[in-house]
Amino acid sequence: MKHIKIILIGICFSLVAGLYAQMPNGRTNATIVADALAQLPADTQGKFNQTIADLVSTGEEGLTDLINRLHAPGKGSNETVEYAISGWTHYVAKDDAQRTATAAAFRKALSNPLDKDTKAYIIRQLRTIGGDEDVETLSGFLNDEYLSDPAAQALVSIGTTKANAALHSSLNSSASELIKLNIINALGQTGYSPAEPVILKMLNESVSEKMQQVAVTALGNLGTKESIRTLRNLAEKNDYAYQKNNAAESYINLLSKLNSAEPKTIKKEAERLIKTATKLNRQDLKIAATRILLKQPSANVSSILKNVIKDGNLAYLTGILYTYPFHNDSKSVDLIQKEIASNRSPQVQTALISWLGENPTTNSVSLLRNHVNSSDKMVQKAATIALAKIGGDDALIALADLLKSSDEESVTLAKNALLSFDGDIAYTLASVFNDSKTIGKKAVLDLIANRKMDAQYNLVYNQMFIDDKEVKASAANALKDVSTDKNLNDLFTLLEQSDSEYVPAIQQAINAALKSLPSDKQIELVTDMMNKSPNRHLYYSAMAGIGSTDAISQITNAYKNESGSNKDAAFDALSKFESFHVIYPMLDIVRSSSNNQEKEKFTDAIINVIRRSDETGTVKYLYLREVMQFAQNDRQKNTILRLLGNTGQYQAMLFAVPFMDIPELKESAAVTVMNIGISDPAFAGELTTAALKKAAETLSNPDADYQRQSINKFLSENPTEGGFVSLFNGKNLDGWKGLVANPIVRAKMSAKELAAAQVKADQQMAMDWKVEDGMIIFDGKGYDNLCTEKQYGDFEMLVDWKLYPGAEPDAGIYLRGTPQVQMWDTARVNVGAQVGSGGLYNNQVHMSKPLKLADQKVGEWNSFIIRMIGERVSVWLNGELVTDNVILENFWDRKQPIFPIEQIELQAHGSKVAYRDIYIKEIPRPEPFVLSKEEESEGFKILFDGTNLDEWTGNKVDYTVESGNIVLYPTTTGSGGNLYTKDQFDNFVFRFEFMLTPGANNGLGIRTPMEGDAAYVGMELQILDNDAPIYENLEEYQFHGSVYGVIPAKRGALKPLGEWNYQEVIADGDNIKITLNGTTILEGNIREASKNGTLDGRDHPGLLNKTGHIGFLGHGSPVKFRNIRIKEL
Amino acid sequence: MTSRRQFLKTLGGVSLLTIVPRHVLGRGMIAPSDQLTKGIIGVGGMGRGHIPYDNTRVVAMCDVDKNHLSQAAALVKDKINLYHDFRDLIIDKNVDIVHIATPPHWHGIMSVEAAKAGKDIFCEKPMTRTIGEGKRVREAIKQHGNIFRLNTWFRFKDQFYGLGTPVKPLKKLVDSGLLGWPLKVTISKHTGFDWKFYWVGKTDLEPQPIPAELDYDMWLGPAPYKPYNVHRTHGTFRGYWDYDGGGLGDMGQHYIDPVQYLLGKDNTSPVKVEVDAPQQHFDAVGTWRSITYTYEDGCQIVLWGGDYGEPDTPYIAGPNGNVYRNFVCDIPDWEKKLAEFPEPKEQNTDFIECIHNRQKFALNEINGHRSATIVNMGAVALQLNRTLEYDPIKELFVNDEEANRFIDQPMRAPWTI
Repeated sequence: MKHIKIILIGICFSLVAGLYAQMPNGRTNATIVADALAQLPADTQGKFNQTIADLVSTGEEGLTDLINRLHAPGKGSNETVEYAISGWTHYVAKDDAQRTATAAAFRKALSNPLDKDTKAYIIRQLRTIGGDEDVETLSGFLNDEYLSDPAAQALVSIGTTKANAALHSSLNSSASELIKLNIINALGQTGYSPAEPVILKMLNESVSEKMQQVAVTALGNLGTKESIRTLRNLAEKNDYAYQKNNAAESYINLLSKLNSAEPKTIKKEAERLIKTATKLNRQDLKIAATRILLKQPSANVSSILKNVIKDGNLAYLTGILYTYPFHNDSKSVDLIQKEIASNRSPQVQTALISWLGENPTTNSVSLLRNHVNSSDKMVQKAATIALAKIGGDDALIALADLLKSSDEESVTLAKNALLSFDGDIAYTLASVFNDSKTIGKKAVLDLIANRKMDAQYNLVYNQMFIDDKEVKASAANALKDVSTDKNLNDLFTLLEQSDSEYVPAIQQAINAALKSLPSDKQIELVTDMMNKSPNRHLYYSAMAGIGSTDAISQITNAYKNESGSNKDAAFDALSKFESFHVIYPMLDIVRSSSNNQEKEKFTDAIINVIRRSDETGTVKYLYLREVMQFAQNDRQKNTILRLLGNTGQYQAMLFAVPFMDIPELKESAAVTVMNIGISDPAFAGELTTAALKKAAETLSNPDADYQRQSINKFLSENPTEGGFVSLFNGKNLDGWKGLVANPIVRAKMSAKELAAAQVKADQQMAMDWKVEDGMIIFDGKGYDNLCTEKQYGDFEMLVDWKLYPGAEPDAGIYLRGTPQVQMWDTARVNVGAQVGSGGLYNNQVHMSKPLKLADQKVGEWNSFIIRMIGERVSVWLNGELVTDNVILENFWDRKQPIFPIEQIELQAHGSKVAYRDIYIKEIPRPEPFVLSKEEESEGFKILFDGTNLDEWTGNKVDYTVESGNIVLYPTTTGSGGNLYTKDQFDNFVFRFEFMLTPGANNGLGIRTPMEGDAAYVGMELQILDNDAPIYENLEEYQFHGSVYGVIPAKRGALKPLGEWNYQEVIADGDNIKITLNGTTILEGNIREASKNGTLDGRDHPGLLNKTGHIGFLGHGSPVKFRNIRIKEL
Repeated sequence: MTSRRQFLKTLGGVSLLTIVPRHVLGRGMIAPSDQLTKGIIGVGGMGRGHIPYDNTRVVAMCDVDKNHLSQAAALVKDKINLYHDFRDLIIDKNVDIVHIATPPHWHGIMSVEAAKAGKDIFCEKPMTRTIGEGKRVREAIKQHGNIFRLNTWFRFKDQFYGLGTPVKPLKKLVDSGLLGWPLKVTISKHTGFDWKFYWVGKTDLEPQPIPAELDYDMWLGPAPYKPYNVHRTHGTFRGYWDYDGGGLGDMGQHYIDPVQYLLGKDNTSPVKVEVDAPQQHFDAVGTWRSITYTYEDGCQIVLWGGDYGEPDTPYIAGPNGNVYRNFVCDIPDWEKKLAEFPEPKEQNTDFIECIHNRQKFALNEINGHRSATIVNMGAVALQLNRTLEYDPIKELFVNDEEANRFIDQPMRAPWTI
């Protein structure tokens, strides 16, 4: 269902190039604006650029029009207009001429009496595109409490001297504290120092906390040395502690800003600050002040660093080390190396060692290796990490040596460093192994395993024969990473001889080693070993690793026949099989088991098989549903329900519905119902709606509100009625009947004969078919099909079915009374069943075989989606497309096509079959439009009957046939382009129906050539939703029906949106008459109307054309047309 | 014994050895007086999640919604200090670490203010709402020597969404060079990432009365003043550009930060961002189809929104091989080949240890700012609906004055950063 949509979209996109949009030439600005508004928000960047370019072409007039449409918040929708205005702003930003013109229009608009939020909105446009020329207008708002903030921000963004000066000069005259705050805050962000005196003054005069904060911060950014003392005093007053007035930070900020301009003053201040901060034990202040010193042009870097190291505080030292490029200063590097070697405090060493790891020099390794044995853990850790970063042989040896330590932490440090060590570490590791203690040996083995060092196999293997159990366990664990097929003999021997605790590890090693052999060789070898062995169970794991069906049955038998640890080993092996086929023996076991523990164990195993498989969602659904009946507890049931939610299967959703009534399961069930219900619009309808509504009520997890929003969104965008209906109530055969002959024979029977035969057939049906456990079952006895009471034309059908093992399993589904969608046992190669089910078996000309084999094993459930439209059938079996839009031939009379409407039948074919969950959705079939008797006799000719565009030419990509209508979805171009009749017409009566969408604009071109704007090169009769709010300012010659620009039409005869309008156009010489829904909306003479110039004041060179095409003229809106016919006069 | 709290204040004067190593006592065994303390700013849903983080002790909370504050305070047994103005929490001498769990438009300011006070910082993602704020946070931390942790973690722990693996083995694979170079990373539903497009805003919001419990002016803080509507605030604020950036803002840094790490781009940014999206409203965040970032060396990050993108797209595509969802790699025998390479370098992933030894946390203000930059580049390109070029050294858009005005956005008084 979804694939089709994707392909269509692909086709549309590939056609984008080469098609041109309709240019706005010739439309009035009001129309262009209205057309653009109808298309906003633009869906793509291309459409955005095109639509906004159209808009921008309307210049100041258009922008003013847009601004005038803005309402105060809550007084009407601004959405579309906001898209238009903001889009305009962004579109012109990079073109200086357009940007200035746009800004000028905004300025002009701001001089009008607009609502305050509207003004704020426009001011914010200027914030992003304004320039010097906007400064004056913006400063005009600096006295307004509400607008001073956006205006001040706009000035900050403009950021020129003029803008800054405007902020500055308005500061003195500002009336309220709020405004002052806004302006000072803005000035602070500009760094405009001329404002310093007035801000200093205000700071001194104000006691307000906010004013203090804003003024102090601003001075920190824009101050000169005049502010230093003030800020320092304020900071000092509170011991440089963090406070709301921001004094300490602003003081430091100011010092940093003035550092290069006033080096001497700042140096004094900074040194003083360091002293104070040291006294206060404030590392952050020390860092800030020291950074200022380091940035001084004459700074003695190494001497400053020396003081920092001498200070000894770790936070201070690291703060400084990583904020200055000491690695570029050789004296500093020397100092650091010297300090590392000396006996400084561990913190200092740690910091310096870490730094050296980032910035190594040639002798770093020899310096650091002395510290990997440091008694201080922090120093030691820093040294190992630094060595690993630096790399090289010497670092490797130093780290490997550390593995010999008896201190567990040291070994761990070395191991972690070696894990990330670049290069070949194998030889060095082997060389320290014997000298290492248990912990070191374990670390070496882990490292060997991590890098899968095959070459160290012997070292690892030999450890399997030592007494140290810990080392032995590590070795066993490492075996799988170093073993190859060459080691298999060793490993088999080891497997037979080892204690049971090492068996799983050895089995893993064997599985890994087997992988390098071809699979037949693997089976041969393992089977051979197993047969020779007194401990067959030891080899189950290897069998499982091989994954062949043969192996599956061997292990299954072992599980069934053995007991104790052998049985356990078989179960473990079964649950490790990677092949999906292992699900069948598991199901067999769980189905026949009477032991709840066993059922629980196997249910978990089966769930895991399903979870990790690559099967389709449909197949997963079938088996999840199957295993639900064996679930032993809520945990298992919840897991199954949640996994069902990922299957995308309609039946899975309905299956989950009843579980929403069980408190312990309801949350999982509701999430599943939601996930599936909203996953595919094709599922929409009554049943889905009910399920989703129940889910919405049930959901109660942290995301439930959003989930409910998703559900509501889906329900509001899709039909809540119709959709799939159930053909089977699960209890009895209501809605079904017995079979009376074939459709051709039945058609010849009289009503009475048929009724009598039906009674008999129903009696037969009652004997042949039964309902059990929610399934319709045919036992294999009897011979007549089960038929729907109702007849179906086009439809989509969902059904689950199952064939039972026995002689020649075979069944089918008859579509419209005709055989059949085939179902059979694929093992029956003598009749060709190996191709699989889902083909149209009785076809002789068209494809009768399925595209691929998608059957489940006989005895398990399968699921069909069958779609039949017209004479073509598509079938999905278990989620795979097996019949792709193939014509179903008429079996009963091969000369005629398939019946247009008939019953659906479940075939009785002598073998046992079950059906469940039968759903059907009827697909309405558009009846082609036919002329009425009157029109036929008057000589009307059909131009569009709902089936094809044969009479039409032009943009057949954006204009397509959908459900019997011509539908325009502008996708390839902004406008959607035009669709013209192939023929030309001069005088005629043209009748058609159309349906508009909100704000829709189209046009009916008549007597027009196929190139150019039909409104001028021919004649355009408006088609327009002229009551939409976006068309408030239309000229009367733009109303629906008007001869565009020439003769106005009467407004008011359009049907409400969503209803069809019926229109007749009579073009007879110079006389045009238009009747809409029975009302004459236009009657006039084009020659008369244009003799003294047209209403729109424009040249209409094609107005008096004698003949031309008739066309639909796209203006970017979706519109529908149908039932189009014409009579030539 | 010296308590940890005293230790922090006198750091340097006391030997580290006087402190019993954490592993000796074991997790949860640290005496309360030795535990580091934290104050949480913003205690709605996200902030309450911060209470148990890192085995530190909550001593203060702050919120501008009285209901949020009292509800969250009830979750902690001890008596704690409650604040309305976050700066009072920052000033509180009992607080070692400031946790910031407010909407993103406050992250920058609060981080900088906490840095000024010398506190260490644990900040929610996205790190900042603009690139400019990120630069200021980075500078403030440098200035004051604080330890900063951004709260997303996939670059160092946990299964990484649809990848079915932590990032470490992916990093190892990328570093090994087996995939070749440059690489293209695709983040989409098909590679296991969901963009949470339910975070979209509404247009035409009706002005509503401000609820008594909420200080709306303080909630807005530096953001432009717009009439109150409940949809702007709690739970749905992500739908508005003034405060966040929708699904991209919410999940972007979670998904993109590990990619920066994988590609080794922690000190740089892409040079180009392209968007394919419906036009964005200036106030209400919408959805998008794709956002593509390109680095100078040709590496790319492609984000596909909703169901867009191809089902079989690899997570990482390279000239010599691909990595798919669930860590499926199409290089023959790749596990074996990969084993020969070293593990990625260790990262500092213990925040408390970082605080003690003053080392940068694995995800800090420098690499965190760079991954937030990618989120914010996307947000700007979406709003302007055009391709933008970026200079990762100057950290400015190239030849686009308007886009650059999105980098540094002026703030409403009395707030600046």
